[in-house]
Amino acid sequence: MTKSKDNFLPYYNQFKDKIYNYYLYRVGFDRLLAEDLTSEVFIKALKSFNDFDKSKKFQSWIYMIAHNHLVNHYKLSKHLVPLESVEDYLQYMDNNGEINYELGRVLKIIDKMEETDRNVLQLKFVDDLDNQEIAEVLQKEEGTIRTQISRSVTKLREILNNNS
Amino acid sequence: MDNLDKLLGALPKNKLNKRADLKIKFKLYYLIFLSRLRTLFDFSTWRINSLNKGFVLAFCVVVVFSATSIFVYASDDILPGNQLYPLKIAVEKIEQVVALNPKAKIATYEKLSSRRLQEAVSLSQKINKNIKTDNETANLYIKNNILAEIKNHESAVNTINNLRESSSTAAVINSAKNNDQKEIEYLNRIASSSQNQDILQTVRNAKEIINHEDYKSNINKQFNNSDRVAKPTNTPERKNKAIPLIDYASSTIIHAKNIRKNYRNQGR
Repeated sequence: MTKSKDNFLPYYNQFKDKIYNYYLYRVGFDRLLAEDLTSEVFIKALKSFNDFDKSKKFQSWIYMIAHNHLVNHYKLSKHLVPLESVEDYLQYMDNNGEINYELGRVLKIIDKMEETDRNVLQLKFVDDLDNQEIAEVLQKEEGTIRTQISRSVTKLREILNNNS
Repeated sequence: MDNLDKLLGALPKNKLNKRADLKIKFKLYYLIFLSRLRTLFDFSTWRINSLNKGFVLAFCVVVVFSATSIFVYASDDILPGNQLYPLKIAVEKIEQVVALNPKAKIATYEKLSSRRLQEAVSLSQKINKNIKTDNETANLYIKNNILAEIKNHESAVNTINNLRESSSTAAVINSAKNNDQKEIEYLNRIASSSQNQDILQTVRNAKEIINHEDYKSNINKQFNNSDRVAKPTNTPERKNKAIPLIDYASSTIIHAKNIRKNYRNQGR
């Protein structure tokens, strides 16, 4: 059982950036908070690593823990205001030449969309999860997720067309 | 927007910075280490692996025993009559056995003779201050310590006389002389604080042995490099002087044991 915990580190190396990215998009681009949450999630995952069913994908499992941890974080910190906003983040990315105007617009609109739409879009296009993995993370049917993504993309397209 | 899929695919993907990465890794390594320790000390595993159990138990016993021994050995508060005193003596005996080199042996004898006298001084001070001490027993301990000091002193002198002459012999003899002076001081302190005639007599005997002319001439001969051949230790003269001393010591110890028995009987 202990040996399996030693095997955890390669998983950490593989998914640390993905989980950090997942949190960064969901905590108003607050880097420090995203780092703390990433750390907490991996510690949680290590503690329950013995319960991990190896017949399933590690990615789905770790995203599920991250999602539940984020829900708990929201519950506990309702009154907290994010230290950074999407505007600060875009400014930072713009200074580093890592983002263009169109991309910035998309990011801003996604950030203002409803939580359900925002969540599936980010899981699909930022975190690169397939429909089945998203379904596992959000504990929904794969078909429902497919429809949800399709609707959210249509919504996003409409908003972008209307704004342009 | 026809290129929406492209834009969505190009959304920025950020990387965890190195400082945070190291911090998390450190936490994870620490937790893995703790889980390993927990497995080692897990009772359920012990049942399966009795080798682990034996190893950990033996390790704990060795650690506790060593720690106690070191504490007892280093402590000046462990005096004769204390329950841990036999352990202190046992550690000192090991120290004597481990000292293979004659010079190391001399140093050990000197250290032990000084220590016995220090203990005797502490005991006599306790008697004077009336700190929960049974005077009669404490006086016996003082006497025994002085006799033990004499024994160690004799052993040190014999080993010095057996030393081959070398450049470092002078230093050893000098150190012995300094130790003698220290011991005389301790004996004087005991004599000044004690009114027990038996102890005063023992102190006088001890001082006589330390100041003995034969002993001094032996040391001086080596110190002046006049005598190239090492002297045999137990010359007939030395043996004759040592025998009454040993008789005296053993009779005192027997006497001490009898007094302790009587004291216990009275207590009952």
